[in-house]
Amino acid sequence: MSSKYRFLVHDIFQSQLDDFIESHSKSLKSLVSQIQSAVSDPLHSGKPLSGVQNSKLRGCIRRYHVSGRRGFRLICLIVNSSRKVVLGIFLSGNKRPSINYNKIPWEQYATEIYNDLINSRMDRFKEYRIAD
Amino acid sequence: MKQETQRKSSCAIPAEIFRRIFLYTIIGEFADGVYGAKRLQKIAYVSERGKGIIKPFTYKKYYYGQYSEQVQDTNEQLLSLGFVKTFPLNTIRKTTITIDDDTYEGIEQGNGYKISDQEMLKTCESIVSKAQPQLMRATKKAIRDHGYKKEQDLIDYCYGLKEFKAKDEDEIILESNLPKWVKTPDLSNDKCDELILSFTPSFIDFTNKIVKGFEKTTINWNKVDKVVLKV
Repeated sequence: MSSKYRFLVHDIFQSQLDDFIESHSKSLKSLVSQIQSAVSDPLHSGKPLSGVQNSKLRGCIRRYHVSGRRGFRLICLIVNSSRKVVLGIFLSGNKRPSINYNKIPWEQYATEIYNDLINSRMDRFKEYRIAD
Repeated sequence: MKQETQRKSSCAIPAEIFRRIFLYTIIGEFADGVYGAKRLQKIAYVSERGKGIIKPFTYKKYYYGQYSEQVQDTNEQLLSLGFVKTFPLNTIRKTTITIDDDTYEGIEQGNGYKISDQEMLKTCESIVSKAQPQLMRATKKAIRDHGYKKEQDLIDYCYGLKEFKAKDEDEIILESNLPKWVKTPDLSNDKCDELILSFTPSFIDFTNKIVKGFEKTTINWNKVDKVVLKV
């Protein structure tokens, strides 16, 4: 469907997704359903991260629950609404984890992904589609 | 509001996030912002110095009194997140500060700090009040009693504190005893997670850079591998 967004994942986060699919097969249905809602209507699905002061980012960081509120966390970023791309940027490996996001090397990830983007290395991204 | 979002449980936030939330609360408690970094340092110190109160920051004895590198770093993080804005103090002042009978003269032109999100202040205030009620009470008292004093009076007060007099320059006056994770009663796990993310500058910078990267590139979809997810 042309109105749908595309769901992209960079190599860095690919392993999170792969591990999840392998380890939590019972929650796969819920993950797929959340990705589906993210690509169908990203601006009205999940929960926007509140308190974001940068106007460009406001409403673009969306949080989803996989397997319910006591389940896993999926974080997506609407990178460009005109190009209709949703980027998966985090998927927790445990249920209801206490995550110290400060310990994740975001700066290093940002540099790597940014460099891939500006050097057109799109082969470092994968597009996930949901089977009919 | 969905019933689910009202479900509360106890969760915990990392110490560095609590420090940001606490400092944000101090700045927000000032009616029209904090006049200067020195004042912010002193009020944070006075808030924490009481017995039995959890101490988010470590302070050393410096030339200008009680100083915490952690307070400065945390304030910079809040500025980078956009939660705190600076405003120029509208006077370039000649200052004269008297310390132990020695008089120092200087010119002061600093920044004031104010918060930009009243909703977030309510949330942060509630977290500090519930997680560390004594600290919140002490903070309100410190601001009420000392927050609006003339600078010299505030410095005189801080220099007069016995624990300050007892130390040599560069020595620790007050050491942080904040646990690695701070329990936050009555905060849902989901809200907790959201706050941690919102108060993590590296995460916000990350998302900003990625958005910029996508703005600068043309996506060649032929180069993007497709994966089909099946349930």
